[in-house]
Amino acid sequence: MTDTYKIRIKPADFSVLTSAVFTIAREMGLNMERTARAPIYFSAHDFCTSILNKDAELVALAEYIPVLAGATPFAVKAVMAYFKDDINPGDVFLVNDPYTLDGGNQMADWCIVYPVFHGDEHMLWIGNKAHQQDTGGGAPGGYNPNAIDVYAEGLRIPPLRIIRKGRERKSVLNLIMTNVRIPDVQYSDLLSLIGAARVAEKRLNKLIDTYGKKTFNTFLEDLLAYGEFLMREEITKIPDGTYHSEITGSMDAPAVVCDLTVSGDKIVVDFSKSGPMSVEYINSPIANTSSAIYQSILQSIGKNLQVRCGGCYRPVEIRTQLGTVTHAAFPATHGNCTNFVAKQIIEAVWTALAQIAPKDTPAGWGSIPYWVFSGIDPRRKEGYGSPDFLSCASGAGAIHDVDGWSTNGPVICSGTLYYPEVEVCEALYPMVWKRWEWATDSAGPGKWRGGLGVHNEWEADSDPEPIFLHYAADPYDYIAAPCIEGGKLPPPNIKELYFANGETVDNEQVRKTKSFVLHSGDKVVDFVQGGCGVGDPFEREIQDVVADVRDEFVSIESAKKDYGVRIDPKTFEADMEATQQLRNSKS
Amino acid sequence: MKYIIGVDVGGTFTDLVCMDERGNSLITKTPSTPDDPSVAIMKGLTKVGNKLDKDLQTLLKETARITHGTTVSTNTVLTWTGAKVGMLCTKGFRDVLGIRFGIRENPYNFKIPQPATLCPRYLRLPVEERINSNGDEVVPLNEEDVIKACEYFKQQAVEAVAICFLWSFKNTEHEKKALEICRRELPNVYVCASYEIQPEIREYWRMSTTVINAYVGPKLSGYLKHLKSSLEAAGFTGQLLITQSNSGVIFPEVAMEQAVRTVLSGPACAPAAAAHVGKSLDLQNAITVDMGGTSFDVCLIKDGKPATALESAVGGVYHMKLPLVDVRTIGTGGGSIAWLDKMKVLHMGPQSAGADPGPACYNKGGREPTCTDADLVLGYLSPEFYLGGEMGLHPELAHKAIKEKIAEPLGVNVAEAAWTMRQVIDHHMVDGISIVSVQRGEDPRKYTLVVAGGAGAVHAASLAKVIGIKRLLIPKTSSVFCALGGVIADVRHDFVTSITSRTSDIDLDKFNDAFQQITDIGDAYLEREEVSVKDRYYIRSVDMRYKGQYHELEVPVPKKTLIADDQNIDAETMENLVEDFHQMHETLYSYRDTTETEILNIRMAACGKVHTPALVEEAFAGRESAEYKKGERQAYFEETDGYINTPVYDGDNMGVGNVVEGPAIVELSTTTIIIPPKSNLELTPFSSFLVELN
Repeated sequence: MTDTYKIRIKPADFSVLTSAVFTIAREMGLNMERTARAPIYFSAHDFCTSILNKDAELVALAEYIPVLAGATPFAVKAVMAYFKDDINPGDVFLVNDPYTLDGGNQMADWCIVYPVFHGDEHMLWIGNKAHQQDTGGGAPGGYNPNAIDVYAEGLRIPPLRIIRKGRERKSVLNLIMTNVRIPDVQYSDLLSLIGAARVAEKRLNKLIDTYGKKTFNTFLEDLLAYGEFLMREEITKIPDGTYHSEITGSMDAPAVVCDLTVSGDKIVVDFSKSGPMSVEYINSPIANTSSAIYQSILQSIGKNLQVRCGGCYRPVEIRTQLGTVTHAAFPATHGNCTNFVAKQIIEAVWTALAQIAPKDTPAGWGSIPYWVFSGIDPRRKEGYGSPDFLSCASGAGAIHDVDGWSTNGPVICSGTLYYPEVEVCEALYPMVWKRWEWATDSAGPGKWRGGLGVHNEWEADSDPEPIFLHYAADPYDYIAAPCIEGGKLPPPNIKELYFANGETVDNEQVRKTKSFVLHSGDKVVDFVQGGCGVGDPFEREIQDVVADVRDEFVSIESAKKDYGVRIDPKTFEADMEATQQLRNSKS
Repeated sequence: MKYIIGVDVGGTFTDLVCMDERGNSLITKTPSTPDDPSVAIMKGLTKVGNKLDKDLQTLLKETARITHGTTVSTNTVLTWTGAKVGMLCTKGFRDVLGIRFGIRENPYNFKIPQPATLCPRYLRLPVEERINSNGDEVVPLNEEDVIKACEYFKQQAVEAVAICFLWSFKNTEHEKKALEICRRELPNVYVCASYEIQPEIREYWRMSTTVINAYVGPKLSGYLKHLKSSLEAAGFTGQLLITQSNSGVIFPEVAMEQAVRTVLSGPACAPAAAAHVGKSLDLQNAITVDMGGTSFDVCLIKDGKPATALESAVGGVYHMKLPLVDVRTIGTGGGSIAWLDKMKVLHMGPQSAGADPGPACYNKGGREPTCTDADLVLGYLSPEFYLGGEMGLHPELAHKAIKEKIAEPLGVNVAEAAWTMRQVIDHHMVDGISIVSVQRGEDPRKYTLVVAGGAGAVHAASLAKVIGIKRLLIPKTSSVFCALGGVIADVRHDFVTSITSRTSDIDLDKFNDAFQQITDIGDAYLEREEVSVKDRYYIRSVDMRYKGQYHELEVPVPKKTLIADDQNIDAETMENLVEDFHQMHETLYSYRDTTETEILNIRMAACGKVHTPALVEEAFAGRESAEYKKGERQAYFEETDGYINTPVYDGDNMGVGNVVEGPAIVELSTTTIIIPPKSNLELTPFSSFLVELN
């Protein structure tokens, strides 16, 4: 029983060791960020470092991207299941395949699994996971909208030993690097992942030396029990009951269905009623589903926890049904599951929670209408390939008392994605940006407004080379949810193409065609939606609406229609009488 | 006689150090006057005059220079009291500043509002213009847009304008022209452009730095003008110099134009003073720590030079990119509050009792047990001689707070609880030391800890033990290190220019030309500041990275000779630079890559040597220290498993060469030094206590 659990090591040792292991995890992250070469990794921070105990429970982590945090234990467990006792000091393993022993969340997220030995004794694991620039397969970057099965999405790496007792297995690495598109960068990034683990191993060994194995092992148990206790305490504050939610989309979108049951200090999150797997590449392997659920719980019920470790996951039981969109079965395509349906899973949990704890549950975030592009840069005659991070700048949902943050998306990153500067993009890719700024009226109205999205426009400048462009956004227009206490939805995303020869491709056609080839002068235009509002927008403070109009976050028309505030277009002041009338007429 | 005076205006005290030509220095502390900091400065100067038996006018007439460290700029940002800033941006990119590259500092707690920008959106105006990545003009500057914007700024009573266009560091023409128009249209408004402030790739950092400059510029300018005229009216005819965050000094006129260079300059000069004191004792490698009531500052000094950083964030939110002395601040101090969570896990801070109500033992209404309370209970602090006796402490209140809030719930005695609190707080500081040393690939055990701040020497020995440091140096002047650092600071201007190339196909002529160009700009500043050619020196470095990395390492360019003409970099030097880069990378990140290396920026600091007398070496006064023993009290040591009767010495009056063996306590009016068992303290020449730990 946790409520009677007592920290067994000395109080000072506990505080010191807790802060020490998290410092080490953060230093790993810092080192990876500083040394990586792929933009998705150093800029988008699409990685996570973790220290795990021998049973693959998370001890400490630096979640540069929250949605990966809960996925590393799956990779470590897969290595444990496959190699059993055959694990030696100096070994390093690599995993990406979601369907071998459930080890991967998404194939482009490669995970280094690194056993930490103290002398001869295996004490800990390090799991460093990072999104790779490419993972082979039918399209660059691991996003292949036309894939029909997992083989077409990339190279499947089951638990694999890449370094044996400190010696690199060159032929094995060569096999992998031969099957990815930018091997030079990817090999460097593998070094970066392993290098960070090496530094951490040194630090951890020093800690174990200082405190002794026995104290250290007791500390690991204490820390996990501590995390568990903190989480149970938060869960107890929520009334018992079962809360149901469904996230639906257009066309034949498989519904993402959540039944959340709170009983005492435990939560069961049941996604087994979700719809069947999709032909689109959004089917979520169990590692991805679990990680998304943990993120959603930590951002709502667990937002004030003093530590976040595997112990916090213990009171959360996850149920799924194999063969549904929230538990993909081999060989279903899954490449985009970390964006969609991870977002829908997170927001399904919030929609359920909003029924009982509306003041502590975040509203839905803007969906990201992102592109993936690749080609040869004629200036350097070198290959490049990347998601267009500037098209990922959606707005955050509001929460009771606080407006949503503008340009903070996607929700799976929750403000950990660093948008690269336009100057950096123009230096890296043969394109010229025309516009990247907040879009008026892009946020969902509310007493607390959603955060804004952006207008993103760029033009190809790549002649004589073409730019290969893939639509990688939400195929189903899943609704952004929840809208809490009468808050409203943001307007939908729009993507259009304007070719230099005068042809245009509208939003609908972009989604149907999905893959395009651009040449100099062809232009991409995105409208990226903001987040959902919270509370009735007619109750928003008038002066806040006035300020929003002055700053062009909200147009004069929207102020009137959505917020019931009439603003003089010359003075930008509110007409109080007309506003009162407007607001009264609604109620 | 000509004096040099260093002035440091802190939140609580305004410190002055006055040094004569022979190196004798005297120190005064005056309560700060935040509404007009110059009031305390004039008072302090009068105090200095009194001590020298001179009236203010005579003192100022005999003063060659006054160096001044100010927190005006930092506080302006932290308290949101800066100018109403308008901004001109490239059309289509109005929100780079507000987007802050999309980050949220805490990705779990959504109840924290998005930070407001220093320039609101309605004052960020788009201007039609565009330069491309090659530096070519793609869209000409629409001057009409600039003029209209100026009209609007006038209407809105904007006090400062920041101009930040894309790629302006590659082609400055548009920003220059816009600057000219703004100066013409808005003659009484503070105007600056990003190409002057931070001409480097990555528009967010460049814009944010420029906007901070505009935000603090008018206030700093007003303050410096006022101070300068007050000093002149009182008879000062020497040179006023302002310290920057890079620990160098500049003329006040330059500081007004480049106001952002004084942001975060507060603690920047202390490490330089520590390095200076260390030099006299032949200590080239030191870690400086300064522990006060609410914070702990730490900085690494290697080969006599304080470590520098390029990126920082004021208040954790407002980013700037400028070379600055890398002083890390941790929110841990004497006032840090101890508390237990529901699982009885002990936390120290982040809440602090501050000075009011302060620790429980202050008897000012504070009920929470703090670090200072633990230090008092453990016998390290004297109830009667705190702050030199200015304030009495109440051990019974400290005891009560620790007993009720910590000891009883944990089921341990008060001494054990206090010792636990101390271990936790020490560890926070050890973490800080690791960040500046271990994470830079440096082994802290090879460093001397130079200790400052009221609480620093109380904790130095025990935290040094945790990290394996063997020597502590506690200079008597450490309480006014920032002021002292100003006195010895050289003139310094930092420049950067972007030059992007693979190292394998670099055009060395172009590369050397670029260095020459920034050297010329630097010389123009030094000329303006009347630094003679023989006193000039230049520190150069190159930002390098592996092809495709986002972050660079700053690789120093070795100096060949002092003569500028001979500084050209040849192919061999370039090869050495590449090798230096590989080695730095390996030290920091544990591997070297086989891929190509590239250069992103070149940096140069143009410096002017400022002549300062050497520290005065005091005469040897014998080893014996018995006559300074002023009593005994019970103090707690880990080595003795509890309290032991410990002698207390009067450190203010001890003489050079005096030795004290641990366990012992040496009390000074500014701090208390704890010497654990089996360790020794000696007062060295140059007024510094050296503790050798065993």
